[in-house]
Amino acid sequence: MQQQSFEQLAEEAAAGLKADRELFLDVKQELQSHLEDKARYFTGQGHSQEESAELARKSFGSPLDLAAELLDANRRRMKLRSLLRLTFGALVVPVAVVLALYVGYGRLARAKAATETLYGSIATDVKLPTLPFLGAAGGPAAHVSSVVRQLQGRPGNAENIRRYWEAHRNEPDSHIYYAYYALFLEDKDERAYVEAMRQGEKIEPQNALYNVLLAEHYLAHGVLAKAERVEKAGEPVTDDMLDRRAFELGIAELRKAVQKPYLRGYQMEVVRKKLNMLPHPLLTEDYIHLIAIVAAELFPDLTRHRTLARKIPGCARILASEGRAADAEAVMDAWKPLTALFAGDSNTTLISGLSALACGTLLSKEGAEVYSMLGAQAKAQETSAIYERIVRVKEEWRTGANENKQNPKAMILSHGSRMASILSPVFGSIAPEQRELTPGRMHEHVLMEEVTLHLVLIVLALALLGTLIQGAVWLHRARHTDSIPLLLMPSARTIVRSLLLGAVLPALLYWAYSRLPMVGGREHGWASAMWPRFAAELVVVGLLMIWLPAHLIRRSIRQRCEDLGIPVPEKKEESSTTRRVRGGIIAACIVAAVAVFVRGSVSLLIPLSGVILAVGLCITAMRYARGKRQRYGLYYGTLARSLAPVYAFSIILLSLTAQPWLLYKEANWLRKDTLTYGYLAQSSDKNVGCSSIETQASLRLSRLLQQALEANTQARK
Amino acid sequence: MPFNTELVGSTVEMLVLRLVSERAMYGYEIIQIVNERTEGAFSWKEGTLYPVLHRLEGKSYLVAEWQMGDSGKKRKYYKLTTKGMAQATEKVSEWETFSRSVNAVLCQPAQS
Repeated sequence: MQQQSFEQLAEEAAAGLKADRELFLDVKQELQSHLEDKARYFTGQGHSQEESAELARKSFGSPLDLAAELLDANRRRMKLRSLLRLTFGALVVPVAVVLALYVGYGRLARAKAATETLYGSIATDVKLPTLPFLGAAGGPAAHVSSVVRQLQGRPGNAENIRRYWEAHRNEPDSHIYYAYYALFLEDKDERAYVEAMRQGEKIEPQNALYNVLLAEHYLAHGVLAKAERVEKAGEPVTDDMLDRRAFELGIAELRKAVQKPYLRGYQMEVVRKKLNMLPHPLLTEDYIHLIAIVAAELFPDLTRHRTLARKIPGCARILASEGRAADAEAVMDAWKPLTALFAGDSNTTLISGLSALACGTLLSKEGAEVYSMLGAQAKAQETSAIYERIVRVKEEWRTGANENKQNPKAMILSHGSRMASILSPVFGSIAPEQRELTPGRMHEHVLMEEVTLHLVLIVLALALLGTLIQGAVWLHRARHTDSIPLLLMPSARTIVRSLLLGAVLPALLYWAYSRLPMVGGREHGWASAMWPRFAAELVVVGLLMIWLPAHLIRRSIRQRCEDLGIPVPEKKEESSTTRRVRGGIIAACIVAAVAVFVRGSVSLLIPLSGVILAVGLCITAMRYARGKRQRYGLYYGTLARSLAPVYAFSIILLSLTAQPWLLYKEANWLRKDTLTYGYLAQSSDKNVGCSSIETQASLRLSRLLQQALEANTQARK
Repeated sequence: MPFNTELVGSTVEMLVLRLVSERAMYGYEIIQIVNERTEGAFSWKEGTLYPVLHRLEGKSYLVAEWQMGDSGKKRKYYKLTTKGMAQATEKVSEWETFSRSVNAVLCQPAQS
């Protein structure tokens, strides 16, 4: 009775503050506590409990006067708090959602788009990105992407390539544009195709390109060689003549081609021209777009030349079977000059060199058999010897062993980036220096940190969504009662302390630890055996950054609810249920986020988010139905409503601090990387390929191949 | 002897700031201490103290925190902020000057 009276009196005195429910409850509790203290004082003076309560009530004065005074004293504070609450509700939460989408999903979409462009450029069917955020996001990636669309008009868009040539036909280096036009010209209309090649021959008579292209065109229709077919058990594989006319024309063009001094497609020159047209790359996806351009220009040679190389021994065998041994030998004789043409001169790219190596191996192996079949034993022996030398070059290149018997692969694997280790077969026996490996390695570490940050942001965004839904459910539940869940305004000290301890401190500790020489292990790349450790570190710091701030704020919210007299469940009861619910939601969030990143499919995000939301709703519904939960509805609703701004604030803080810093580091390391990515931005005429190491590797491969081809000739001389 | 309301009102803020500068206190405790120190001359009511406490909190001179007291009961304690400390010093100094000036006038023998 006494309690109730004090409570009523305190409520009446604080009634003016009801617009701010938190303040109202706080002041009510304060006044109630004051009355209790006063009653205790009177009890100490020897009064009975009833008398003490009465005296306390009497000395309290008029609650209405006090209510007016308290309202006046708190008016300014209430306005400020209402404004803050409005800011949290109307601004902070939407901004956080947009930021989380932009930073997490947006970057993912851009990366996916870049990867699709890369795959599209290698595959025959170019699939251009149409994902959201790509066009609207702005920045270099979006711009590069739009330029790539214009530049990449092949192979389906012959018109664009023709226009490209037309636009540059009067320039001094028009032969480069014409060669590029010819390279990707479709050969469906044979007459037009032949005419175009003849025009090319007129523009640059010394270039074997046009005859090689015609030989490839004719022989593609004229013959199907054994080497092109899949061998099936019990079925003899033969060389088949498909079209006599095309066959003869193809051989004629081949023999014309090998008379010419050089074969140049000018792909590297075109690549440089295209790269110079693009804005300076900044982030990884920009570089991936550049790789897409390079790959689109350089990769087609690999299959095209190899197909021709497979057909030549087949042609020779067909001619021999027709009794035209001299013609067969003459066709087979084309193999060496053709391989030399493929191997090229000092301006050949590494991809062309590797393609020449593959063709040389194939031609010399089958050539020796054909010569032997034709009875040209001397040529057979010479070709066989060349084959063995080419195989040695190939083996040396594959294993990476150099003249000093040092294997750079182990060093690349330990200290280089994953990209460097993928490229290590390309470097061959040329070992990159340690300092060349550092930027690529650090770039990958930063990239993985960014992935972790994006996962954290996605999980926080889902947690935010979950709390918003829970808050709405509890609000709906309490719509006809006085137990409306509060949006508590934690003190600045609580916010700062929670964010410092929960987010900034783990991030700083991780940063300091990971950058410590020897201890942090960042002298090793992700490709090394240490990647599980790096992954574990990121998982720990990520989970800490998600769990710790929420835990600290949650504790303070519980404390505040207790202060305000809101019924709070026993810690044990709350923690067991909450742990299960929270664990389930966090696990689902992590699984969803990891699935999205690992599977690389943005389309998974929507259904997975839906599943997680459905799980969240089910859990909320279960809480709703349980009596115990309903008893503490005000607390749970307040918890959900008050946690939402905390998640939102964490998202904003991380998006505006950690994300830009990581982007800065990413751009910085990419710029410094002269080995794998960054070289694309530094492509110059001085380099045969794109980077200095590619230049070295390319020249070395060309030299080794030429040596292998010429050794016998020199020995004879 | 009941004091003039305006006179009392003008000193409450200063006295609260001065008292809370000694240590963190809750509302009822402040009233008790004022009563004790003034030997009952100042008998503050809830309507006198709490609006002032809240006003000072709104101005960030005080910060409130719920804490468990010695008796095992939770009470709202008020602590002085750095800003409040400066304000308390200023108010006390202002009062000293004021009272010295008033005393100087009152204690001066009347000149004929």
